[in-house]
Amino acid sequence: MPYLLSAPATAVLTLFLAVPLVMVLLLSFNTFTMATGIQPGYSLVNYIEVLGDEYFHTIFGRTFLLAACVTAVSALIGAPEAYIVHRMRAPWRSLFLLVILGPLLVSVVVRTLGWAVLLGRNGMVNVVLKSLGIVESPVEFMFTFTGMTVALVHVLVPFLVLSVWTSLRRLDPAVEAAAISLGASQITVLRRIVLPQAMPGILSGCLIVFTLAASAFATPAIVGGRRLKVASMAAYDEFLNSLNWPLGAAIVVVLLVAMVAIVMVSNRVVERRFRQVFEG
Amino acid sequence: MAFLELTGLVKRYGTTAAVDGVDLAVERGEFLSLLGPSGCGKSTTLMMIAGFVDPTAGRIAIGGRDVANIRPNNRNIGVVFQSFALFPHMTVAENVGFGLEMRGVAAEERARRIADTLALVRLADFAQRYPKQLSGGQQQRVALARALVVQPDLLLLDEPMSSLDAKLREEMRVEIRDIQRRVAITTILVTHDQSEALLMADRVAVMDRGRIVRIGRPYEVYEDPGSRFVCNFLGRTNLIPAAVIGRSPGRSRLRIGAVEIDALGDAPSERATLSLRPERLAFAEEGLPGKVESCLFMGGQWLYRVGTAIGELLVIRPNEGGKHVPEGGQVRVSWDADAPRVVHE
Amino acid sequence: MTRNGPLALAFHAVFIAFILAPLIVVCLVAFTPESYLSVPTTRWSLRWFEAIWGSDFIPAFWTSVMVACLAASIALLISVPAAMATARYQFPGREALVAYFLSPLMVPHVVLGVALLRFMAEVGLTANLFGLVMGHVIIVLPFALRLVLAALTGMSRHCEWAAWSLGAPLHVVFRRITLPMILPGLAGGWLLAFIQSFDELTMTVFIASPGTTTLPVRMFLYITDNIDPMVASVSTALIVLAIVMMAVMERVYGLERLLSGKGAS
Repeated sequence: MPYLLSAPATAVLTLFLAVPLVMVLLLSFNTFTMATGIQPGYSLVNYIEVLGDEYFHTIFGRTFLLAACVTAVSALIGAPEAYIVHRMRAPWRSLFLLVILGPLLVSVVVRTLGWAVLLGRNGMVNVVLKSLGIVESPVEFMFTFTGMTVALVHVLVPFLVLSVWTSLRRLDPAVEAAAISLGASQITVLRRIVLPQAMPGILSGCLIVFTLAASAFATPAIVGGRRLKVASMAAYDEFLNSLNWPLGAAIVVVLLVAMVAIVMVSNRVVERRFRQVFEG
Repeated sequence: MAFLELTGLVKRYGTTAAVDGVDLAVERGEFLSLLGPSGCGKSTTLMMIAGFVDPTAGRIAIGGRDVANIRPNNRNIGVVFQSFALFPHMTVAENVGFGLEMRGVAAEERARRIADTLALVRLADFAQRYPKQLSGGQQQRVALARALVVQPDLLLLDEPMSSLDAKLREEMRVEIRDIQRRVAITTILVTHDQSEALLMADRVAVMDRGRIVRIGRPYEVYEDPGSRFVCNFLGRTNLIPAAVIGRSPGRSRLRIGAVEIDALGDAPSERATLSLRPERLAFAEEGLPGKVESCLFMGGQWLYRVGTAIGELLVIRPNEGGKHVPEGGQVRVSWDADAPRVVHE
Repeated sequence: MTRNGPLALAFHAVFIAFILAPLIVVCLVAFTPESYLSVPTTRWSLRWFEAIWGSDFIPAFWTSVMVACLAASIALLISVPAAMATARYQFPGREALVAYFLSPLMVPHVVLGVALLRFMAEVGLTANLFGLVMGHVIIVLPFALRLVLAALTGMSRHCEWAAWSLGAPLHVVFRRITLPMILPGLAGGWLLAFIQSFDELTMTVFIASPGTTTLPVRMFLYITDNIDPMVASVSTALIVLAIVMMAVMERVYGLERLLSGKGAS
């Protein structure tokens, strides 16, 4: 009976997820030339190109550097914000949670467009900077690494706030009160009581942000443009512009393997380190 | 042949046996209680009777018919759960009428029987309420009405009182027992509360680790528990290790130090355990000398700890106004001839 | 509980400004009377909203709505029995099955896009709405399934058992008891799935053909070409739509609960 009930979902997933993924894997071993198109076969030539070429090193380096920067910034601003919201009173707490999480319901394209407007040569940020006399001529943010980072942090930080906030919610306020009554200062309470308990939330939030940032497409494409290509855009170009599908498939497979490896390793580390907290 | 018969009933989850060979016979109209600590398999037994859980081995027969291949919806059994399990999206009347609807009872007939049953549980005015709008005790009565209205052959109560507060629980015990007597329905109550089982049931079956270890009328089981486990689980008792020095059918002569005591029950070996219920002990002119080590007032009764030659004894005496033995007082502890019992390990 | 200090509140204000700034700017720009990006100061105009009518954003919007409706409905339809199986039965391979159902969360949308593009080229489904919808079903399935599962596990089994022993066969138990009791979860799951599908860009950009361009893809292609106030007015409309959706979800299911079940975009 349970097998029968789960058959439709299993069938759909297998047909439209597992089979296509295997197809991409096989595709990545094919070869491609302009003249002949895709040639079936089992060749590692695409992987040699992706893993050996300077051009792809730069792209993958940039992708993971971007993901790391976005994760770090998100953690640094998202975790304190989650704590501040957690400490707010009833109506304010849900209101601001709504403000922070609400943008998740708005398309990434729309949110990135906002940053394109803000960061452009004549954008708001430059207007403010100029009127404050901080800069004399407009600073270029569009098509820079900084711009990509800022926009992507904006897109992904809600996930971190959400994850930290969920773990803070499990925190018993009486524990904090107990620590203060035992003579601990506010800073000590934060460091010794709150932070260790929020840590699983911070780490799992970081993991979500990192994986989403490493595979992000729209935001880097709009803010970074062609000059600052990331892995997902490289795949997009190979598939839809150069039509070198096997090479694009190899890029995607490398990206997927790298991400799954990172997720699994960090899961192991996090679980080992925080087993007690997770079980609580 | 008994109305409900369980034969060699077993339920295994993986390698652990939740129910490990239960044999039980319940007569028509009888109120039987399955009593035991949590995890003893009593609820699993009940769920197997209802048909929600399939037995690993054994046979269940209701009215002489093996029900192995009868689904719960065709067993005609009423079940009241600990959580009451009322349907939150239906009114009280709809909840109670659900079983009748499933049996294809016509609308007018249904309305009449809903009204009758709600009157029986004193909820006539609440028919159009939703479960959320009722108190715990009222929800409990709706659950009972819902189970009774279909006139089931068997009523199963799974810890029905444990989510009520203490005072309400006592009222509901009496009320449920009265309703059961009035409609004369065969009932099985699962509970971990010994006073509930003793008060409500015609017979009590004490379960431990998947087996029934003692079954009988409440008074018999209490007075003659048979084993150390039942002894401890039903009320309090003084348990004293003793040497067996004499045997006659149904009786044993025990020695503890220099004291010799006649006890009811057969001793299986040279060593035995003596059980003395604290409320069966009294202070008298004659008896075992002792010294009161502590004396606690419990309202209705006094609780003494008395040091004697056979060890420290717990003695419970009713509060009869003013007079009690103070701490340090010298007493003599006596008992009736049928108070000492031999219990097995 | 101790209150937030002034420093914390200042940080909070900056953070909220950071979150809202790009959305507000987009809304402001949408009302400019000029033909280039600028924040209107003295004169406001609706000309860019009027320009939306007759643009190809409108058919793209309807494509998006249709794809999202279909994807959310199909995902819900297959996740209800799947959730019933994993929540109500103990069977070998149950854990693995749940992991399999949630596995689309682990696959980046780029990878999914590439995979489906290849798949459809192989089986001849290119430029086909069906392929696009099924791709979206894969993406939204974990979200729908999680909410249905949460609703099922949050609901007491005893209610189903009670109805069962009152004489209802299992399919009647499901229809009369289980379904009404998990309805809020189903509605929440459908809405979340709809929004996920409606906003999806990365996968769709690979497999959308000119005939099946969704709104996010249309906007993305438009923006990478040039940014003008019209795309800002479309965005404004979408922001308003999102606010309306939020209000609806808050009423149906509770937004906080809904978003907590959410793990990726």
